[in-house]
Amino acid sequence: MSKDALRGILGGYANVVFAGHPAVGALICAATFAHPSAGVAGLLAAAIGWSTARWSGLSPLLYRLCACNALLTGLALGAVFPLSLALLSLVVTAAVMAAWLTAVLTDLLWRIGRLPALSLAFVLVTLAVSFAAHANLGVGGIEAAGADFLGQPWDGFLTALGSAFFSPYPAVGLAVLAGILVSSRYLAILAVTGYVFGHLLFVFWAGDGAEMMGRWGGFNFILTAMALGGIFAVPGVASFLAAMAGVAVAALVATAGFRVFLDFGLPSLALPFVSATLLVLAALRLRVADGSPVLVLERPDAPEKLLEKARLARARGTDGRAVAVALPFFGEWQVSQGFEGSHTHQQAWRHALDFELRADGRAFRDAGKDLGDYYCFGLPVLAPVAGRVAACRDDLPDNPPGETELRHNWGNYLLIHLYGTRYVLLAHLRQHSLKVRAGESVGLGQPVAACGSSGRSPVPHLHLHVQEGEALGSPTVPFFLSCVIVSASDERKFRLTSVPSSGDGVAAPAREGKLARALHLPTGKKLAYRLRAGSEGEWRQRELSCDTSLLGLRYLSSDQGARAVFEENSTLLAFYDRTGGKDEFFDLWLLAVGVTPFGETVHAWEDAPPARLLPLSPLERCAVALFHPFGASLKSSYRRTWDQKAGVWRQTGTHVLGVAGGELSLRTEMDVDPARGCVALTADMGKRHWRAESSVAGTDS
Amino acid sequence: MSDRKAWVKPTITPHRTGLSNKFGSNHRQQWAADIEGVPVAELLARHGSPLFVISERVLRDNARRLRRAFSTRYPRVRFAWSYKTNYLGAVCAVMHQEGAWAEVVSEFEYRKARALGVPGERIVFNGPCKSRGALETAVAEGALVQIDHLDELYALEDVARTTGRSIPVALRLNFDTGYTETWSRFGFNLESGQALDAVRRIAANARLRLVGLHSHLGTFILDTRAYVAQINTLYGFMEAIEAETGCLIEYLDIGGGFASQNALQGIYLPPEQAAPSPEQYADAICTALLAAGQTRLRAGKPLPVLVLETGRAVVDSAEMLVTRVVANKRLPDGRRGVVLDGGINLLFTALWYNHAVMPTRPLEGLAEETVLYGPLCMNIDVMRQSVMLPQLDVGDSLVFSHVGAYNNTQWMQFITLRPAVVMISESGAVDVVREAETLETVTSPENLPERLMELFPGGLPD
Repeated sequence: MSKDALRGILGGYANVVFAGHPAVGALICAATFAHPSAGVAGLLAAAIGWSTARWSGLSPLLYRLCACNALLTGLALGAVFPLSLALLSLVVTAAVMAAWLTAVLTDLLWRIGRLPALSLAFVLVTLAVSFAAHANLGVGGIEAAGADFLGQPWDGFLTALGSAFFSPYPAVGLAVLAGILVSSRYLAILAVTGYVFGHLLFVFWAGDGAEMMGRWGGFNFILTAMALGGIFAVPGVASFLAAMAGVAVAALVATAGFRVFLDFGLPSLALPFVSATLLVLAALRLRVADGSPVLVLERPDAPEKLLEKARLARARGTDGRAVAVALPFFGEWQVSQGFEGSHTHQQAWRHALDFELRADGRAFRDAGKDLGDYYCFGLPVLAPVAGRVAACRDDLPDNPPGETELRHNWGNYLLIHLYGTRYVLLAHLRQHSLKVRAGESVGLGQPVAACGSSGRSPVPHLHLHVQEGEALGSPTVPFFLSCVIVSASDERKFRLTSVPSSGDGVAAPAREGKLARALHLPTGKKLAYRLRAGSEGEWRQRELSCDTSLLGLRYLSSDQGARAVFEENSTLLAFYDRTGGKDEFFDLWLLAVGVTPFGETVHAWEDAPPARLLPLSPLERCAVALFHPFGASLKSSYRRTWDQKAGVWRQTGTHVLGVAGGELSLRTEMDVDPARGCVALTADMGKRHWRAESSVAGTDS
Repeated sequence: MSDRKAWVKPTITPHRTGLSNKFGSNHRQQWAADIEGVPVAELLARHGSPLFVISERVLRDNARRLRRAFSTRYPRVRFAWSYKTNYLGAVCAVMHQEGAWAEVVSEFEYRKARALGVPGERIVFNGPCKSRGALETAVAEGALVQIDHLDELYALEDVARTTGRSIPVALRLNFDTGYTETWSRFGFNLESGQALDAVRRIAANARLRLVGLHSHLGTFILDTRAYVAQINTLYGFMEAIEAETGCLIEYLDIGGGFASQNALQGIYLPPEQAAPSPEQYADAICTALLAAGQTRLRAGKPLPVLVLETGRAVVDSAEMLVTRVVANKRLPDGRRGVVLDGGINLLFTALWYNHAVMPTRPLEGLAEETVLYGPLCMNIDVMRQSVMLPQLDVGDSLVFSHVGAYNNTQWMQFITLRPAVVMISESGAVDVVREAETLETVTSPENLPERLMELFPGGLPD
C-alpha cells in the first residue's frame, strides 16, 4: 500500500473527530479493534472508500472524506452483523456507494450554500444497506461494556466518544479523546460541554430509560458542538452559543430517533449531528449582515488555527466584519464628524465620516462667506473603492455657507456598487463636477468629482459611508480606512486600519514606489542567504523562492519545505498562513517582514503574527502551550528608518509574547536595499543571535 | 479752549485738468507701526537702519499653503527650495523643515546646502555651469543632476565610466508653449529633436538611467494655461521616450515661475488681480496632470512625481526692508523727492517691481507724487519712481514689502555696506539671521601688498 493511501485511510479515521494528523487516525484505528468485527469491516471499508475515490479520479480533496464515510459505514455494519463473507461483500459494496455518495453530496451541498457534506453519505448508505443486510444476515449486535472504567460520569462521556466509531467502550473513547487533545485543546472542551448539555436534554426529554441510548448516541452532541463551535466557525462566545443551540437541536432529533428505533428498529446513527449542524450552518449563511459567529465554510480548520488567523485578520483589518475603503481625496484632510457623530451620524447612519480641510484650525480663509473661501471646496474627490457606479447626480446647486437644502438630503452624490449588497456613498458633491456616469466602472483612487456643499450641507465637506442596499440613504454598515496616516493631538501615526474620530487628520502615506520595487517578489524569484546562528560558527547556505499555487495564491517557500502565502498590492506586502515543516530561519524572515507598508513616509506600525513563529526552545514551547492552550499571537511593533550611510531601509520589529507574568521578546532587523530587496536579517532573542546575509543578488529565473 | 491741530507744512499741488486717473489719489491712510507685533522703531533702534525683516510665520504659511494646494490635488508632489531665490541659512532651514528638498544651480549653492545638513540625495542640481569636480561630488553624494547641455552629458558619461557607478539623471528641456518667451538657451530643445537625441544617447549608456524631465518656463508667469501647455508637452514627450527606450520617468520637474503678490512695473492690474493664487496654479497644473495620467494608470504605470521649484511665490511676501528718510527735496518739476538710507544695491528687485511702501506712523497732509531715492550717488538708484505719499519727516521710517525673493542673493556691497537681516519667530522672538556688515567684512578678504602699505610716503598731499 502506498504512503499516500495509508495517510488517506488513517486520515479518514481522524476526520471523524475533525483531527488532522494521520497519527491520531492510527491511534483510533487500533482502538476500533476492541470490537474485532467492526474493526475489520471498518478498515476494509475505509480502504475501499479511499481507493474508490482515488481510482474514480475524484478530486484529491475528497479522498479523506470518502474514506471517512466509508469507514463509518463499515464500522456500523461490522458492529451490528457477525463477520461473514456475505457481510464483507456488503461492506465492500456499501463502501463504494458511500464514497461516491460523499462526492455527490459534497458537490450538491456546496452548490446549495457552501455547506459541508459531513457524514451524511454514511447515514444514508448505512440505512439502505442495513435493510439489505437484515434480509439474510443474522443480527449480532454490540455488547455494552461491563465493569466501570473510570467511573461515572466520565464513562458516559467516553462511551459516547467511542460510539462515534461503534465501539461503545470507555477505553476506546479515551483513545479518541487523546487524539482530539493532541490536535486541539479547545475541541476537547467543546466535546465535553456538548456531551453534557446534549445528554441532559436527551434524558430530560426521552426519560431515564433512555440513559444508555443517550450514551451510545451521545457522539452526536459531541460532534455537533465541535463542528459548530470550532471547525466551521471562528471560536468565540457567539460560536459557542451557536454550538449549544446545535446540540439542543441534535438532542431533539436524537429523542425523536429514539422513538423511531424503539418502534421500527431503525437507528438514527449520525443523523442528529448531521441534521443539526447543517441546519445551523445553512441558517447562519442566510444572514444578510456580517456578524458573529463568523463562518469559515470555505476554509474549515482547527479552532486554534482559526483563532490565530482571526487575530491576524483583526490586526490587519481583513476579518470581514467591516469594509476596507481608501481615502477619497489627496493630501491631508480632517474628520469633521466621525462614527456616532453629534450632528447627523446617528442611528442607521452612524457609520459615516465627514471630511473637511483645515489650516490653523479653520476650514476657510478670510471671512468664510463665499464657498470659495473654504479650503476643501472644489478639491478632487476620488473613488475610495473600485466598483461600478450604481447611481449619481450632480445637478443640484451648492448652498451658500450656512444654508442647507433638506429636500435633497444627500445633495449631489455618487453611489458605487462594491459587491453583493454593499454600496459606497460620496455625498454633497459640487454641482456639475461628476466625471463618471451611472453604469461606468471606477478604479480605486480615480478622480470622480469635486468636493461641494449641496444638500444637507451648511459648509463644504465630503460625506462618506458604506451602506447595505442600493436605495439612497440605506442603513450604513461599519467600514474602516486602510493604510492611512492619522494625526491626532500632535501625534502622527501610520495605521493599517483606522476609524478616525472627529478632529483627526487623515492622509494617505506618500509612495514613491521605491520600497514597492525593492520588495517586489515576482514568481520565480529566488532569495539566497548565508545564515549563521550565534556570532561565530558555520555559515550555512539557505534559499527562499517565490511561486504561485494552482489556485493563484502567491507564496514564499524555503528549501526546507516551510511555506507562507503572501499578498502584494499597491500599498503593502503581507505574509500569512505559514504551513509546512519546522524552519527557524524562515520564521524569523517572516517575522521581520510580516506586513510591510510601501509608503516611504511610514515609520511605525503594528501587527499580530502567530506566536508559533517564535524560535522557542522545547522548554519555552511547553510554557507557551501551558499559558496559551488555545494558541497566541505576538504583539509586534515595527519601525523603519532610512540608513543614509548604508543606503538601506532598516526595518526593526519587536515581537513580544506574555508568558507567566513575564514575556518572551524577539527583535528582528531587516535591511532593505532599494535595488536588491531584503539583503540582511539580524535577530536576537535573549542570548541567542542569528544573522543572515544575502549571498547572491536576488536573481530572477 | 479747543484742541490745537497739528501744524502741517503747506503743499502746493498743481491742478491738472483734462487728465483722468482711474484710481484716484490714495486718500486712505495706511500705516503700520509694527511688523508681526514687534515695533519697527524698536527693531531699528536695536539693529540699525536699513534693516531686512523676515516673518517666519508668513514664510511657513506660504510654504504650507502651497503644499496644501498641490497635495490636495495630486498624490505625488515634491517641493525643492530654490536656493538662488533666497539662500540665507535661516530661510533655507525653515523651508527644509517644511519638507522641501534643495534646488541648487552652482557648486557654491550645492556646498551651502550640504553645509546646512541637506543630504546629497535630497538635492536637485540644476544650472548650465557645473564643473567636473562638482559633478563628481554630486554623483558620489547621490544628488539628482538635471543635465543642461551635451557637454555636461559627456562629462557625466565619463564620471560614470571612471567611477563605475550607475547614475540616475534628468534632462532639462526647452520648448515653445505659446504663452511665454522660450528660454531656449537652457536645456535641450524639443522641437529640433535635440532632446530626443540626448534621450537616446542616455538610453544607450548602461550606466545612466533617465528618471526625470525638467523644464522651467520663465518667471512671473501670470497665465496658468502656460503650465497646462508645458505639462501636456512634457507628458507627450515622456510617453514617447518611455515607449521608445523603455525607461521609466519617475518625475516631472516643472520648475518655478509662479508670480508673487508684487506689482510688476508696466502691469496695469493690481497684483491681487493679476497674479493667480497658489490654488489657481495648483488647479490648472494638477487637473492637467491627472487628466494626462489616467491612461498611464490604466497601463499600470505609476503617476510621475510632480516636482516644484517655487521660490518667489513662497518667500517674497515673508520679508520686508525697513528704511529711514534721510532728506526731503523738491524737484524742479514740482514732484517731491525723498532720500532714503536703503537703495537698489539692497533692493535689486526695485528695478522691475513697484514695491508696496508703508509708513510706520499716520501721516498728515495731502498725498502728493513722490520719488523715493536710495542713498547711492547713482542716477539709477530709485526705489519708487512715483508713489503718492504725504509729507515725510527726516527720521521717519518706510517699510518696503514683498522683498523676500532675490534681494538677499542679488544685493551687493556697493557704496554702502549691507545691513542686518532679522527673523521674527512665530512666538515673536527676534533673531539676527545675518549680521550687518562691517568694514572688516569688506577688507578682510583683501590683501594689501607691502609696497602699498605706506599711503603717503612723500608726506600728506597738499
